[in-house]
Amino acid sequence: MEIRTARAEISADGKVKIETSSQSPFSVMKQIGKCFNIDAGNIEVHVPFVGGAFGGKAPVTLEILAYMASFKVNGTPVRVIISREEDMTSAPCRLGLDAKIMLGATKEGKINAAKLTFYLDSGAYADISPYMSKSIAADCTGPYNIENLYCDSYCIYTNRTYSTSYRGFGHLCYTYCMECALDILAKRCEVDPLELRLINAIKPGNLSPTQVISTLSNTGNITSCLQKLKEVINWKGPQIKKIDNEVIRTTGIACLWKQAVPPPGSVSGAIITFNSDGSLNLNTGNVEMGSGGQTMLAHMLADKLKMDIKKIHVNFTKDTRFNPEHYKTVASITNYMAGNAVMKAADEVLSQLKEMGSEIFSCSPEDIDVAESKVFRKDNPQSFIDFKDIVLGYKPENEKVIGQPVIAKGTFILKQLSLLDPNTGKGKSGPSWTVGAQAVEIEFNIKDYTYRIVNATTVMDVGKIVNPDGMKGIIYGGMAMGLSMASREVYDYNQEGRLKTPNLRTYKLLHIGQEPLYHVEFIETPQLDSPYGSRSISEHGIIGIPAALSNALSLATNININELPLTPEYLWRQMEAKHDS
Amino acid sequence: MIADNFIYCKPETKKDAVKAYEKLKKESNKVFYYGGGSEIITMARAGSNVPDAVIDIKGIPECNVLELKNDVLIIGGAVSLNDINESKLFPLLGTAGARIADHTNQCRITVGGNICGTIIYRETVLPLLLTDAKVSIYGPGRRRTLPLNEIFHERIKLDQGEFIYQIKVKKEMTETPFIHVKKTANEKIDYPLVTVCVTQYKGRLRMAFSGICSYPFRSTDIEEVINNPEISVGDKLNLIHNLLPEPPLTDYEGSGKYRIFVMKNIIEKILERYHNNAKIL
Repeated sequence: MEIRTARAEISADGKVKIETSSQSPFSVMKQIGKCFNIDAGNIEVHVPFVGGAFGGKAPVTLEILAYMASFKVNGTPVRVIISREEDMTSAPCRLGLDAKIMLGATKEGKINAAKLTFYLDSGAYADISPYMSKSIAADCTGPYNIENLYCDSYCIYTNRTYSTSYRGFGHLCYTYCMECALDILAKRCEVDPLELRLINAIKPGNLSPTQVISTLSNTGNITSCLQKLKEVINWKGPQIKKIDNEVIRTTGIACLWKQAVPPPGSVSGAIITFNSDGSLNLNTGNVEMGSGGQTMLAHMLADKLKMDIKKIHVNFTKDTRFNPEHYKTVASITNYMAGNAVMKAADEVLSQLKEMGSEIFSCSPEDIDVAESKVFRKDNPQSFIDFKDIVLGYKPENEKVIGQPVIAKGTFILKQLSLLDPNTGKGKSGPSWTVGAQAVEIEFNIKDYTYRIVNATTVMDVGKIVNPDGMKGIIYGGMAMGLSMASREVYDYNQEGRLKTPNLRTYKLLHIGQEPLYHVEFIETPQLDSPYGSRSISEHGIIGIPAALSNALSLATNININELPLTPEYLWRQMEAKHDS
Repeated sequence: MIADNFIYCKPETKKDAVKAYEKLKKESNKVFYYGGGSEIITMARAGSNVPDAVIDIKGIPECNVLELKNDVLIIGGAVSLNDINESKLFPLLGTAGARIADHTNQCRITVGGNICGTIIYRETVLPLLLTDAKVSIYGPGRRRTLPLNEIFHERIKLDQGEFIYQIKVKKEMTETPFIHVKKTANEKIDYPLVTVCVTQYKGRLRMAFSGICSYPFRSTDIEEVINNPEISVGDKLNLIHNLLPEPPLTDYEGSGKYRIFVMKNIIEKILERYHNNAKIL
């Protein structure tokens, strides 16, 4: 987890060069241009392979300081590096949230009404928090059908470190509140919490909180996820298993959903060029920071062109001068936005190759096929031309040159999204949802309130499995982050509002040895407008985990736990309070 | 990384070390003897204690001794926690050291550094207090050797320019049965909420603590209660927290009340076993 850093220099002719560990090089270009009245084209932003970001490198901060410092010293290169302590104290951090949840349900556990109020701790600057506020409101119910819904989502300035996007874009915060409330409701109704979620699961034809009509394509299938979860964790209702005189075992569950909320008109692009050995270069504007987006795009392209993925080269470093604009590498929508652009570029590659093939083999382009880096006639695959002999133009010895080098492009722009109506909340803020169901099993010590996390499970509707090991890895990582956050991570401030935990000595993280066994299962309900029907998954593994852990602890302690982090001392305090009352 | 310039010197005798100290002290303000340096790095990074000069005592042969001689275990001040643990010469001290920081740091942190450092827990002090260890101190004055119990009150009371060059423990004491329990807020590797060290010597339990207060201590008051056969386990548990030398520590790792809860749980387990078997192991 590298800290954030930026470097700026200004050449004699006024051109600005910025190098930064950012998820959003094109936003850097636009914001610096706007702030300092520079034509965007005169700003060049370079981004190397970024080591971990999770949303925290989406805001533009140090780039502006580096630019101003360089400007002050007549354009001399200036690098701004902040220490870990400064990074944690002053650079934007993850969101804090308080919520009030009121649910109205039948005795059987069918929720008919909900009034939800969220208070977001935006910290000292607004930054992107108002958008998180909107994002929370737009998805506030979780993957459930609640017909009568009232939601207020307030973004509040406080004297704390300011908030920005962090894996899940506010979703893990409100999901924690909702999913804990659902377990309380299940207890009150004496209904199995998993059954309660099934009863209320959103189905095709239901409305989302912002009144978008749910379909299998735009929402996926939460019912299947829950049923699969029930099967894989062998769920038989909430149970307390005695391990010995001090230790009991419990499991908690939670559901998740999330839609990306990029602004309407966000763009992406892909350019494909070839090398003399017939391999190709896939050039997109997506930053790679370990979420596997580039690999996923390469897999899709390899499948589409029916070629070996090893012959596809992706570029890890980004340069706004060369790479086509991609909105920001955020919101887990590389597969969707850049994926659509890559598919179009692949179509262009195929049409250019088929065009050339038709001229070489004297047939129509429809009679030509492309596979395994070869171009051939469908009716005679034995006679073929290797990519290396055609992608830079076909140049047979002593014969005339045919065709031209293959260079293809594909583009994408987000359409059909709308802002939310201020009065009714109605509007379509994202292209689709991804849904999932999660479970956490713990061993809880009833004597000292310590616990060990034993198993963590996710069933996610991924639309289409692309690169299964990669997908599992991303979801394992999400669960690990969720467990770490829920069990120990805290931005703790003293009376004067100073951060008490400004480094990794005091800000605790889950370590190797404390990890549970992770399990991931997939459901495949295709998203029809996305390449291969794939859905966004990169952030989602984190979202329901804090609630699942909390629900397991609520069951173990017989207290309605509804705060994070879930440290043994916190649990002890709750138990003491219970005994006192 | 320490981003400030400082003087480094590595003398080869304890005399030279003291000479170096006196000379450097005339020129600069913060002169530290050091063994492992892990704490100096931490403090310098935090900006709370940046050295002007450091004197590395690892070059002094006596500070690196770790041997049994005439039924006395001699431990040099610059011997690392890991070396003590691997030698198996003093299992209790080895165990205590093996729970301080991570393995990389245990290979670096020295016993002298842990006792004299600024981080308040100083968990190697507990076994030494319970086993009547003596410390040999060298400095501008004369060399002195005295029981740790006499010179350690809240922290070790060294005069200016003095350093621990050796620790001596009777072989018999290194072999006493012991229990060492360290509880942290959540992590395996962390500062203690409470560390409890118990030995059984001549039929009596001895107890020393770290984490519960702002300094480590052995409490004879608590030992009196614990060893009193007239008092039930329940009553003992209720009595001991009133016998702490100061109110329990509250910080980001845990509140004082919670530390008491954790301490009682630890002692309860030890006493249950003790009452059943008349032995702590």
